[in-house]
Amino acid sequence: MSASFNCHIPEELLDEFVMEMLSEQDCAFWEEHLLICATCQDRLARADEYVGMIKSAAAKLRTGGLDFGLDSDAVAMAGEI
Amino acid sequence: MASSPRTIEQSPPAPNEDAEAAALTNPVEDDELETAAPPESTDNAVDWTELVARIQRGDDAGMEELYRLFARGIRFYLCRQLGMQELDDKVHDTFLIVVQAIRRGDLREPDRLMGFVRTVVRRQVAAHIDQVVHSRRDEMHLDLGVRIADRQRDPEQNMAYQQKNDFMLEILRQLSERDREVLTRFYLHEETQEEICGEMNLTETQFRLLKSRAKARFGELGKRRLQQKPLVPYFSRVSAR
Repeated sequence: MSASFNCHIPEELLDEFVMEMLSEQDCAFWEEHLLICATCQDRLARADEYVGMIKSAAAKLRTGGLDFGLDSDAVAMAGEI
Repeated sequence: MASSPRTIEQSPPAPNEDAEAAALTNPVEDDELETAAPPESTDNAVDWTELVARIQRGDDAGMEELYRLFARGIRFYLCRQLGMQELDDKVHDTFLIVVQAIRRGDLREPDRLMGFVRTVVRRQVAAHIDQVVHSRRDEMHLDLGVRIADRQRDPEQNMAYQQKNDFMLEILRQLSERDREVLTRFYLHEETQEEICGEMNLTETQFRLLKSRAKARFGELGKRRLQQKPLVPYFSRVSAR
């Protein structure tokens, strides 16, 4: 199946794409689509920002006492965003 | 291939999930897809094989078409992975490699032009990362991820970032503990859906709905808060800022 202009990245996959959680096949497909789709480029840019912000905010909450048992590496990584 | 990638057409929401699906959105995205400018051309209008043939013949119009189709995407990919530094040069180099490869006949399946361009761009990124790793190796110990984009900001960007960060923190605090836990596990700890479902005793559907509800709530709170106290227009289109 080839990527196309007309088939945009599903909403529920955007964050997974940002977090590199997609399968290699899905990732390749959507990366090809992103090369030619300005709409999804803009959507992904916003998803990048959203994920970065929520990681950072969650990390701050964690250090502020709302600890969900997260490891220090995850917090440190989020703090670098 | 085992299966086709999930697409909008292939995975429509179930009727009883319409509201949830509609709410499954980043806070910046609700009504923007409808207003976002559509891609310039229609997919059906692009004949990749013909385009490749034109480039092989040295047709200038073919080169322009290639550039029109891929310039923004290549720039976006390189910028996202490597940052803004020397971006124009990197985009130019990538195009040069693509065109030269096409003219040499390296592209054996012209209808796979998009995949070919992706491969070239990825190799460019990998080569740049390799170069950076080598140049920095003696300076410090690095634990590089896939992306090494330069995230340095100027003072104005720093202030905007801090505002958004504080705002997001405030929003997150207002969520229920359960919603917050789902978001935190998924986004911060990067636990998989299966892991979260297992530990929180959720079905996959419950997880998806809970995550989408939390996300929608996130967006709602954000919009409401912005109406009360307009700060940096975080929930507006990036291009409109």
